[in-house]
Amino acid sequence: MVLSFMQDASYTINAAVDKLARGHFIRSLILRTLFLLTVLNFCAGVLFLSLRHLKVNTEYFVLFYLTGCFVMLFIAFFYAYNKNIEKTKWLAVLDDLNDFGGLLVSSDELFDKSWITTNTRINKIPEFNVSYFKKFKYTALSFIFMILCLTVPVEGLMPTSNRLELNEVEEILNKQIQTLNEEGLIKTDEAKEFLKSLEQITNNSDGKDPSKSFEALDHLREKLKKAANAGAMDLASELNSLEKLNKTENAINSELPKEAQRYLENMGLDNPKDASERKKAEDELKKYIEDRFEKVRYTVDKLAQQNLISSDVQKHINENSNNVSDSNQIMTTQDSGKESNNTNEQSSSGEGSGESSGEGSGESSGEGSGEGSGENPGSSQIPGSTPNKGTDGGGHEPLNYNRITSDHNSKFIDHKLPATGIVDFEGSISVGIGISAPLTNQPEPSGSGAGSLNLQDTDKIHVDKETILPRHKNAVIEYFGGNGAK
Amino acid sequence: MNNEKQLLSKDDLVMAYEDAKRILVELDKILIGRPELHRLVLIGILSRGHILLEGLPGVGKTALIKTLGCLLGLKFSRVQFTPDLMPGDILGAYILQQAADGRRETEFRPGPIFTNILLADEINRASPKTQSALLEAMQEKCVTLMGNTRKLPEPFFVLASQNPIELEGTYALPEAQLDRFLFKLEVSAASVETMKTIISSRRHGEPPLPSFEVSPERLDKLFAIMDKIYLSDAVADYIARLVDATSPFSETAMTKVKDYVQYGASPRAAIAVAESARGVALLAGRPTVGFKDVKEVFVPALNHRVLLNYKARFEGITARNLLEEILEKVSVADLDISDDISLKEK
Repeated sequence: MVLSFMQDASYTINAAVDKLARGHFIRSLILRTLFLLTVLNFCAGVLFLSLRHLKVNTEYFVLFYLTGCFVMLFIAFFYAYNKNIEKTKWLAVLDDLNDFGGLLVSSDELFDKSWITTNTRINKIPEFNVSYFKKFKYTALSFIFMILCLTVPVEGLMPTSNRLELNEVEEILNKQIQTLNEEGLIKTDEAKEFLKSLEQITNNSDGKDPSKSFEALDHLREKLKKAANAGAMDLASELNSLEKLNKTENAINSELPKEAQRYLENMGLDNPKDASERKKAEDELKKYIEDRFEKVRYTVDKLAQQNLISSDVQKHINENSNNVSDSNQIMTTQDSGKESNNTNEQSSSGEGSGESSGEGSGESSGEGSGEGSGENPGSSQIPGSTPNKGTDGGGHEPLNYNRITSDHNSKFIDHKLPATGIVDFEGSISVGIGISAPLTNQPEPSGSGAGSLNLQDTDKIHVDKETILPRHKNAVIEYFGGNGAK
Repeated sequence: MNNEKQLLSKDDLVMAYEDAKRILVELDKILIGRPELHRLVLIGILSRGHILLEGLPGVGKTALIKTLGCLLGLKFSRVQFTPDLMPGDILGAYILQQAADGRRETEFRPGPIFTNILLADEINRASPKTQSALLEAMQEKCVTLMGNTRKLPEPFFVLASQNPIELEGTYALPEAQLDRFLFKLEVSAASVETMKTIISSRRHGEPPLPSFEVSPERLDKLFAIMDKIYLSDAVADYIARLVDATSPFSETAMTKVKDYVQYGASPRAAIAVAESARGVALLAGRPTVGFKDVKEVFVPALNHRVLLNYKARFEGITARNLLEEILEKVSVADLDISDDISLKEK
């Protein structure tokens, strides 16, 4: 009658409670493991991807992942163990499900076995219903993510390299150094030093800051140009000497350049004893001069080809050499000096500045023209090659517009700029500061009180001026904020 | 909670169980067709609680209470509550009397409340003043008049009825009074089958008299056994969580409770559930209160204690609906398990 439902049970109370507790522990462990595995996979994926970018050896990944799994299992186990549910609560569940009417929980609380004994059987045990699918879904996704992170090509996700592609520039500079060395314009040690600098610049190139590398390369290029221009200047002065010698009658009796003297010595004609030997010596000297002129022309052409000297310089030297060889009109040193000054002024005022900034060329223009003409009056000044500060600011080498910029993978349009020597000054303006004596106010005889302003005599006026070329107009307007510049 | 840390013996329990069963069987025999109502009324009586019966006139409310009084051998009074009923009409009054020697003195004439079972018929028709006269009697089981407090006879029950129609001239019971009723039970209309039986077996609507009467000693014993029925901590925790879930201010309250409940059940409600669950356990012949016992009495014990807001009224939500939903949601054991794990009956 009473409590008849306690018969025909299949579990003892303790066995039922253990079964429930174990079932819960295992399911909690599985769920927690899946959750932590999902987290681990996502974290590992991100980490692996980062490490692959940093080119860390991938064989450590497995070790890292296995360690992570081990730690994760430990945490999951610890969590599931701590989530262990009290026996009383399992008893309450069993009590309710099996209609014990509170006897299970009460007997356990009071340790009263008069109604319920340890042998009392339990008929119904609840089942755990776990939504594994949701958890598995996320875990599977995390696995896929991690595998993708391990297999996706890293090169496609990041810029290929941080290094600049300087091959072309490096090659050009390399050739320039070799040319200078071959033509004897720089010594072998200097050439080695230049090559070393070039290598250093290339190795230290950084895609994030290309201006740094290009600045260093420009600096090296300028050094090479300086050396080339200095060499060209020597060649020009040698040409002048040879030219004078060529025009002198009885040149063999005059003071010969060392190289010519050495040449005649080698031929055994340095001291001609008779007229025939003298004639022969003079012929040899002429031949030497011609050969030398040929050699100089060749060297100059080579330098111009390598963009180490400007076309103006090349033209000027070639004209001199042609004049000698054709015995035509010889350019006077005065004229050439004037021309060189003129050209120098043009080039140093920004025309030949090349890649260098306009600021640098602007600064050097005044000094270049002044010092260049003042120090070497009447000498054969090579246009644009004065060793003054005027050439420091600007490179004469034209921009290489075919170069692909490493920053943006963009290419300049292949557009030829006008040569530095033929800049049209039309439309340019001059700006400057006029310094003069104070203005005088001369009242009008009518006595109206208003006076006109007149400058004092012009001999007391000093003006510092600079020429602003048409192409620089906009930059100047922008610089001064456009106020009144128009 | 329970002072005695021992479960009732089977012999003690069997005797009380048999008495309770006999009463129930007799009730079912006399009043046909409402075994569930009889069961809950008996549970209420065993729990020594007051019961509010709500139903249409003529459905057998008064007959049930009368029969119960006869069965338990208890004194029975009936008061028909009307708007002009005064507290003195229920509680009693001091009357000036002239003694034989000519002296005049006041004498207390106890009202109908001095009984074991008070049938407060149509309680909502009396004025609030008269209704509130019952408050002390229902809670303290005593009456205070003119500074004198008089104990009411033991046991004392108020079995009130109210009519859900003809609400003109009625006064809804205040919450404080409603809270004092253990159960609020709805007495529904009888089915065709029941009516057929009643018509054929009853002449002039008079129910037969009970075949036995429980002696006062056995009734005392029954109440004593009731007190010894053990309520475990696990069940007490379940009751507490259930009652807490009715409060919209509770952290564990459902959204519906937060939306529709103005005030949840009081701790007195939790006591009512626990006491009445003991009655269920006794009727099941068990020395302990089970979770199903709690579930059985939860709705009748709380449906008049949960105060719904106007939104619930507009949307037709009843306290019964909400309480049944709470019963479904609150688990018997507060298992701290993951949301992904649920327990399913095999």
